[in-house]
Amino acid sequence: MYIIIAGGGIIGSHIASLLVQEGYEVTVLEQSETALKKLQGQLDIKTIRGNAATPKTLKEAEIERADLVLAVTNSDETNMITCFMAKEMGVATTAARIRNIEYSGYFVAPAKSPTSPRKIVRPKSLGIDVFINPEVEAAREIMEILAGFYSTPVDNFANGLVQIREFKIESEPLAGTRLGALTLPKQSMIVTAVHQGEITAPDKDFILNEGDSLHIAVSAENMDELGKIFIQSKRPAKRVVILGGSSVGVLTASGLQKRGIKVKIIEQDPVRCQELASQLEKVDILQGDGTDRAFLLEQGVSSADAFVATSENEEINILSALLAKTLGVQRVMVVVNKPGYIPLAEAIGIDIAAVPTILAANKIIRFVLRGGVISASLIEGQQLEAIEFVTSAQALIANKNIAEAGFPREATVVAIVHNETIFIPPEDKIIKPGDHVVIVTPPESVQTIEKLFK
Amino acid sequence: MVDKDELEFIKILVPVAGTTADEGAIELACRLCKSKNNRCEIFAVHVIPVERSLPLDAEDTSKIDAAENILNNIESIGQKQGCPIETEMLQARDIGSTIIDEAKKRGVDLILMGVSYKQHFGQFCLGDVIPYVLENAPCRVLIDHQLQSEL
Repeated sequence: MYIIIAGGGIIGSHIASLLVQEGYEVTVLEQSETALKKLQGQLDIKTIRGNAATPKTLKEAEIERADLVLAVTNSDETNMITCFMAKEMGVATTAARIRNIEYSGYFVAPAKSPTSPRKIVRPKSLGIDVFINPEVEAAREIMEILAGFYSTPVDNFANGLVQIREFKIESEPLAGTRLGALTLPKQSMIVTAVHQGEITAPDKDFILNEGDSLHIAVSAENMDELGKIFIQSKRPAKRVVILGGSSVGVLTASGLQKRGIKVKIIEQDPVRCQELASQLEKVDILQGDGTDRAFLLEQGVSSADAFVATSENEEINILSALLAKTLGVQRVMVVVNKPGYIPLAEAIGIDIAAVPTILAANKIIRFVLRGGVISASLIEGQQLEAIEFVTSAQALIANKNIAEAGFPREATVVAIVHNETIFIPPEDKIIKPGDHVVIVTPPESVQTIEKLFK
Repeated sequence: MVDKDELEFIKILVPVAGTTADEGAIELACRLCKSKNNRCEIFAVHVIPVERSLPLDAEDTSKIDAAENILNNIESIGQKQGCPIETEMLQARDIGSTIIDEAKKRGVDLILMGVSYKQHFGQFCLGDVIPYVLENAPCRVLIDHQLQSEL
């Protein structure tokens, strides 16, 4: 499969590295010489300098051979034109990163007569098969986290029957505990453990340390029982302070406010404050510096249930989140774009609310790459992928048990859902046609597994 | 008796609503298309009905998402069958008249509709849309009724 990526920024390079790891042929188109040099130093890929929205650059990238074009430059308009051109040049699938929420993807076209049917213009009619809006996804994740008592998002499989969630070892009683001593609920399975950023397959003698995390697959109905083991109960937030009037901040504020949550936004730029005030009527807009302790205290941040740092500047996000934590805010979260900052934030005890780059990569693997896959998500950056397949009657693994199905050794079958009956762990169950199978695997083995389901 | 040439369907309109009957109708349209060496054009249209309490331009994202899934499914059936299908999403007050307008606008030779086994007060029932289309269609109409056991 040959994939062209327009835009070699943070998202472009992250997706390129994921695709290269999986063995795809990738070309990145980028206008900035500096970004290209950085990419060439990191990845073994072909790069072309030029404007991706022009036929000349696309032809140079051998667009006629491409199976997929991902347009992820910083300009929405460039991304849309690139997809449109690519589609016209015969590319089967295109995906565009669109940040402006005004371009919602769909719109109702006006008609000459007031009673005539209205055509709904779809992104596909503009040559875009998949709209990727990492900011909207990030806001959705933040709202989900704040509505519940978990501090990490959940990945859903088999229509939500199976869930995988990361649990952090924060509380004293769990640190120092042997894994075998934990009584996990039925229908659950530890997928992987993360110790000092390294993924391990834990056995019963694995000792949990503070700062470690476990990714656990569990049936949805047992998730709260599992949550009680790992999480000190956090009540759903009622008062939230958001730092930064970025699109993630605005979307989150507007969503929370609709759910009856009192929201304050702190923004440094006075002009942006004016815009926000006219856009978000019921949200308090405070103009000031989010890294100024006295200002945060004065504005009552210490009495908030949650503080979410969503500004465009990641360093400020981490710093202000740390300040909010010292002021006693119970739930502190940041949005970071550079995956490299995740361990830094986690090391100082700040939860990562969302990483738009990873969300974009998730969406791409879910909707674009894996045609036969129902859902997919990344675990620990991109070290592992959790993928759900539906077994067809013609699949190589149909009617075989897990041991003889020929899965790569490094892959783990974590759940099988047969007619809405969940099997976690699936032991050595026979995989029947129609079964939903959830597998956790390193990206390198994904293509081998895909072949087994064909 | 029908002249063989009269059954030369070049443009086929398949209204879809997201039921299993639609899939049967699309597969039948693809078979017809393949029998003509893929010279046919297949249009699948999904109409989102808009309640009278709402303006006709109202955007209901959940209904649009559902419609997108329905049309994506139809496109993938077409891909599997080797027949490209042009899909369109419309919203209107009345589904039947919108299908007729679309058939006239596109100049189709055939409207192909799938029908599922529905009962109303214990009686087999075709609903409102199919009788309206049968009564007002500007072209031939083919109703694909699947066996009850297949539904």
